[in-house]
Amino acid sequence: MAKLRISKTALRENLEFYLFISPWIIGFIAFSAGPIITSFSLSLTEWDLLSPPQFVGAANYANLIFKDDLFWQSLKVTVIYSAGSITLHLSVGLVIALLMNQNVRGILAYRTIYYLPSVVSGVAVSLLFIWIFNKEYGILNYFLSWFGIKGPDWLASRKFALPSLIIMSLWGAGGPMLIYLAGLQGIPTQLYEAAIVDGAGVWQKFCHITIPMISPVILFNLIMGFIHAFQVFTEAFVMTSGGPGYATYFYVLYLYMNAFKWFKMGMASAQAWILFALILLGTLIIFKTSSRWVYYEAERRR
Amino acid sequence: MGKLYPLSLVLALGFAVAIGGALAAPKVELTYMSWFTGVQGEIEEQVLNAWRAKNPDIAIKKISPPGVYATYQDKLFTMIAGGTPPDVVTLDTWWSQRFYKRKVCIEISSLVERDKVDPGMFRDGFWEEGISSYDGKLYGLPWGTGIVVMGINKNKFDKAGIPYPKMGWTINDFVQYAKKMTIDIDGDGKTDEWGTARQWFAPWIYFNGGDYVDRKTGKSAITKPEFTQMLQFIADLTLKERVQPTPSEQMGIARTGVETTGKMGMWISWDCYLSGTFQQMDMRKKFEWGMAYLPAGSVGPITFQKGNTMVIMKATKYPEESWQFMKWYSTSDEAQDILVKTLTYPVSKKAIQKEEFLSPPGLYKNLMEPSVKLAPIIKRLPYDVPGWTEAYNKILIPALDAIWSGDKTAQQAMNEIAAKFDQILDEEAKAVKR
Repeated sequence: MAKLRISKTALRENLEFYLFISPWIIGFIAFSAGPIITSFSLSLTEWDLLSPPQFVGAANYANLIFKDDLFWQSLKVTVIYSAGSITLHLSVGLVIALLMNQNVRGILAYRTIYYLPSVVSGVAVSLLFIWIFNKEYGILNYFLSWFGIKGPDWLASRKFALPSLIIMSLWGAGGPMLIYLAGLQGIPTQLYEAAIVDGAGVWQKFCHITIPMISPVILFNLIMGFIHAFQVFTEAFVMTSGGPGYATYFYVLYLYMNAFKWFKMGMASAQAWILFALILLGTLIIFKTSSRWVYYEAERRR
Repeated sequence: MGKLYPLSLVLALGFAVAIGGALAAPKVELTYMSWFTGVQGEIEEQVLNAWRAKNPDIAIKKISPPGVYATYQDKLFTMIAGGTPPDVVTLDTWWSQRFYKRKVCIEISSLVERDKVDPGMFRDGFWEEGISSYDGKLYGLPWGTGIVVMGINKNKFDKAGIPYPKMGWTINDFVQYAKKMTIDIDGDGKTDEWGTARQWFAPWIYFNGGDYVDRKTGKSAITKPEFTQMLQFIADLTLKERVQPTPSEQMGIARTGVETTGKMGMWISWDCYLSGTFQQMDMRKKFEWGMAYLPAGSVGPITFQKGNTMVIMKATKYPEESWQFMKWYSTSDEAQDILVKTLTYPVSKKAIQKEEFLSPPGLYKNLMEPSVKLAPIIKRLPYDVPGWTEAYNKILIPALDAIWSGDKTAQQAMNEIAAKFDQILDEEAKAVKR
């Protein structure tokens, strides 16, 4: 009888569970699952939107990987950008979070101010940075001129265009900062007190308490940053159109060009699936290696 | 019965209103899509209203994606892919060939013949292969087509003591004039006003007898001296002559519409953009401007055309009504006269010979003369060469940055990309044959 009661409870809980997640499931099936499946089938075709798709098998994948220099160039640019922007995001976000974790007057206002840029539209930020990076009239070169440095033509130079966009990505450091801050505030203060009693300095506390304790948060920020960086588009689309040369020709920009400039929908779909596979692979590798450097307090207790 | 009487009355009235409404409603509603928005959209609305007044049975519903031209193509292709294309659409010649090739619009050769539409009625060059036809079959009528002229700032010419350019002035004259009009007003070592704005390079290549593609062989012609010399010439206007700003310098003057600032002496422009838009913006309040011939290169004076087309989509339920509307828009005096009055891309030869087009009221005497006189010597981009637009955007344009910055000579840059440019042309040529 008791067994039956449990089953009934479990059944009700299951029903409630599915009822509550049903809006998401319905939304996913209606708006995401269909396009995902369709995009895979389209990746096996040649389709210019004007006439019916023609099945070409894996030709789009083969052409991209074995014949298309621009595919590899766009991938190279994206990987460099990701490495640079993720490193900056993780490190600068953490530094700001440490500062924002101090108990000083007006800290709530500072936290808001540092987070605000993260919610500004990407296009607006891009237009702003076009001016910041302007060789003749930009504030960055004006600032450098105080130190006698003649700044380059940031966005027009093949050498500096990509680093410019990496620097610009710092604009969104408020996002990781906020998550770091939540992590920092969850570290028990008695750990620091015990370390002080043991004679630990600031650096030792940071390396042996702060970093391990927020390592799950670092992992989360790393994965989110990785996924986000690989899909970067707006900056290049608005600011550089992928130039000069192909210096900022990001992977998703090339995908967009194939889809909406040259109407090679099959090719663009194949690119989307390759990108999905790359992000999935990268995320799995990060997860796999995370056991070596991420510390989970709960696991330790078990 | 007493209760039924009012009910019957209401029903009868409702029935009468419904019948009346049905009788008054247009029999057909056509959807028409164009990228004219803003000021141009308001002008086009005048044309559509003229049609509506005359044809109450064929309503026109205009679709224009909000914002800029950039979203037009996406919207149109998406509507087609979704199975709901408009009945009549305007196509940019940069990508119209794709429509003809895929046969998604109706071939109008027989309709043109049936209704005796005279190709000779259009401005010279507006009917040619590559603009509205494919593989010998006609698909579209000219719409929103313009030719290239040189816009000039008369105040700057007057101040520098330079005569306004006449037919036959040369590229060398252009450079000398530009030098005289490039000035540092406040003496701070930075140029404040420029001889010329950054150039659209295509017309210059044609001035020199160059072309992107050898029209006979279908192979690229971008490494030929006629081509590379002019790319280098344009780069040197900035790098050596310093009469043309760098992109950063130009952005400091205006991010877009630099010709409207009054700080440029000469700029390549479209005839009807200059006349129509400058008139709408009341530019004379800011500075006196004009329209000049293009400088003559090694092949003599020529101009350069950019065509657009109006077509009927194959999926339309109303091909005859669509044709009537399209024919009226493109060929009727009534529609063309509205475009003439507003100086907005009339396509008929008769319309542009009218005095109010040549010397628009409130503007200048013989303002449009260069546009009219240059028309018979038009050159066209190789829109009809398969793969050209992709090779141009994907390969050529990115390679130009190194030339503009002086990192490579034009010849070096073109030599490096010629094989890739040809590869796209070859692949597309094979695809067409398939």
